[in-house]
Amino acid sequence: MKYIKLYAYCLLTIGKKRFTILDTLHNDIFIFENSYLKYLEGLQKYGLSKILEMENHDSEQIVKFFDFLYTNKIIFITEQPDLFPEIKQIRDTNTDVKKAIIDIRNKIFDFNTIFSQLEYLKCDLVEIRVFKSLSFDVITNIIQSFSTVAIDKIILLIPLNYEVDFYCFLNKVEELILLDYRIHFLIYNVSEHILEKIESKEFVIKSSIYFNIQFVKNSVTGCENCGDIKPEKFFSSSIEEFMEKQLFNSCLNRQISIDENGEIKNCPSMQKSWGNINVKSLIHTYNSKDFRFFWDITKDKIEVCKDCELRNLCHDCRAYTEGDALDHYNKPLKCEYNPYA
Amino acid sequence: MILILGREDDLSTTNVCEWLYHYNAKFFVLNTDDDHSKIKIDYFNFLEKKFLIRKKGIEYNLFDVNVVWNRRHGLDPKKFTNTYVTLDSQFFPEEKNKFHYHHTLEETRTLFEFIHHFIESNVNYKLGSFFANDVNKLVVLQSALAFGLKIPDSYILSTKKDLIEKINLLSPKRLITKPLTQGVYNAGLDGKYQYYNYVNAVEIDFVNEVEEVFFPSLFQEEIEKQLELRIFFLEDDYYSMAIFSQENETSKQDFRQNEYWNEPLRCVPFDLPHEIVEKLKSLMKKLKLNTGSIDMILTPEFEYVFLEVNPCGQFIMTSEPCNYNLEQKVALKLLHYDKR
Repeated sequence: MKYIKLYAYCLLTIGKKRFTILDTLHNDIFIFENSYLKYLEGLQKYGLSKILEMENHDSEQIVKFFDFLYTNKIIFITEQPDLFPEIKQIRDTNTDVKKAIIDIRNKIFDFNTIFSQLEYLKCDLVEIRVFKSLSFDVITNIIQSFSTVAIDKIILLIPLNYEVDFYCFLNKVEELILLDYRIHFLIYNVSEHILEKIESKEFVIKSSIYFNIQFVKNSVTGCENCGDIKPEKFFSSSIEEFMEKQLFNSCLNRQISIDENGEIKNCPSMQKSWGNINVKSLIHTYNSKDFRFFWDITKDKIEVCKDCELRNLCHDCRAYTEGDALDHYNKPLKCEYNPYA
Repeated sequence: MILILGREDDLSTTNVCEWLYHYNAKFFVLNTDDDHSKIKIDYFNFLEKKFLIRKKGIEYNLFDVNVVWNRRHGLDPKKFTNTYVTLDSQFFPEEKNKFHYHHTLEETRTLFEFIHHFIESNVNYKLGSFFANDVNKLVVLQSALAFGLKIPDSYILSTKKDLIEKINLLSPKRLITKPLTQGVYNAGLDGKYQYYNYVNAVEIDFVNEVEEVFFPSLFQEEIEKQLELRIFFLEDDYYSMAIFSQENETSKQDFRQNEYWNEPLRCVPFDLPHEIVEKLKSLMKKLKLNTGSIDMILTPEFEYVFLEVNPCGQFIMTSEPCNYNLEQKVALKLLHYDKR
C-alpha cells in the first residue's frame, strides 16, 4: 500500500476560506481554497486510488491537485509514512534581543552606553534609522562605538546626500564598511536616475561592499512609514521563523527600540514609552515582565488575523491597528487583505 | 572552563560557541589552523599545575579545563611549526626546509600529542576524542558487520583481472570506488588543478584504461537507494534525517555532487527503527565515539545498509532542515559537565 506524505519542510496554515503551504526548502508559498483541504487529508490517509474511488465525481480535480503537489515536491509517495515525523517546534534562541531599532532625527544619543547595554542583552541586530541628512563624522562616531561590541550586525538606514557627488558619498560608505563587515547600509531617497545607472553598472559598486549596501527609491520621513502589510510582498520564511511566528508576536518578539526623542519603546511607532534612555537602562526595561507583554500576542489572538491563511507569514503591526488603540488585539490598520473574501 | 578544539572555517563550532556565549559559559577555542602567530605555548610545569597557553593575548591554564570538545582534528603541528623561523636559513642554507624543519616538526608533534593527552586525561568530560577522531573505514566496516549491521559487499582490489571479474559477477549492479581515508581536497596552488574525491561508479570503459596492476583500492557494490540517511549521535541521543537524493541524476551516487543551486536537496526528519539504533549505539561504543554522524542507505526493500561514520562530520546539515537545534544540545552537554 502506498501513502502520500507532505515533506516535513512544507508547513501548513489553515484559514477560514483558504490554506497556505509554505515550502521552506524552495522558498515558495502556495495558496489553495479550503475545498482542497479534504483532498489533501484524504490523500494522506487513504492514498490516491482510494480517494479517487471515494470522490469519483471530483476525480479530475483531485488528479490535477495531486500532480501539482507532486511536481512541486510538496508531497512524496511512501509505503511507510510513519518513518517520517513532522518538524518539532523549539522555543529557545541563542540571541536575547533579535533586533534593536534606534531612530535618529535631531538628537544623537550616547551610543557607547546603548551598544554596551545591547551587547549585555546579547543583541543580534541593530537597525539605526536616520530621518535626516547626517554628517559622516556623526556616522563614523556611531560606528566607532559599535566596533568594540559583540553584536552580529548593524544596518544604517540613511538618505542619499545630494549635496555631495555620488562617488564621493559611495567612497565614504565604502571606507566605513571596509573597517568592519558587520556594517550594512540601506540608502533611501535614491533618484530613479541614479538607480538606473547603478542597475546598468554605469555607477560601479565595488564587489567588496556589494553585499553590504542597498539602494531604494522610497523616501523615509519618519517611523510612521512602517507598518504596511502587503501580502503580495510576503516572502517565504525559514522553518525557525515560521515556528517563532506561531509562538510569539511576529513583529515585537525580542525587539527593543529607542524613538527619535530617546523614549524606550517596543517599537518607535507605539504610544507606550517605558522611560527615556537618559534615565532608564535598556537592560532593566527589556527584562521587565510588562515590557514583554506584547511578545505573546500571537496572530491566533488577533481579530480577523486569526482566520487568515497568511498569519504565519505575516510580519504584523501592533502600532497602527484598527479600532480602539488601547485594545491590543485588533487587525493591523495598514492591511487590506480580507481572509473572508 | 570548556575548551573547544575546532577549526576556523567550521560553522558548527561557531554556532555552538554562540550558544555557550548565550549561556555565559566560560570557554575558549583553539583551532587546527591556528598558527604560531595566534597561539603561544607559554609555560608548563607538572608540580606548579601550570600549563599556560596564550591566544590573542589572553592566557589560559589547561589545568582549568574541565570539559573538552574535540570537534575536529586537534592542533596541527605543521601549521604551528611553519610560522616559526627555523635555523635552516642561517645554518643549513643548502638544506633549506629539510633537516632542522623536520626536527622542529617532530618536537612539535610530540608536544602536541602530550597536550591532547594531558587535556583528555585531566578533564571531567570529553566530547569526541583526539585519539579516536580518525577512524579507519575498514575497521569500522568490520565492527559494523560484527554487530549485525548490513554493509555493502566490499573489496580491496589491485589487479585489472579481479576488477573485471567482480564487475561481471555483480552486473547489473555496479561497483563504486571511494578512498579509504576520510577524503581529500587539494586545490592546486596555481589554481590549475583540483584534487579531490567523490564516490564514483566504476564503468567498464574506464576499467579498460586501467593498468594491469594498480594501487590497492576500495571497491564496494553499489547499493540501490530509496533514501540516504544521516544519523547524528550525541552520547545516547540520536537525530536522524532522510535525504531524497534519488530523483536527481547528479546526486545519485554521492549527494555532495548535487547541483543544489538548481534543485536543493530534500532533507526531512526520520524515525530510525529501534533495532537499528541499538546496533548503531553498540558500534559507537565499540569505536569509543560518543559523538559523530553515521551515513546509511535505505534500500527500496526497506533494508538499512551501514556505510560509514564521520566522528567530526558537519552536523549543521542535519540540524537545520530538521530543526533539531543540535548546536544548543551540544552546548548544553558541554555546560552540564563544566558545572558539575
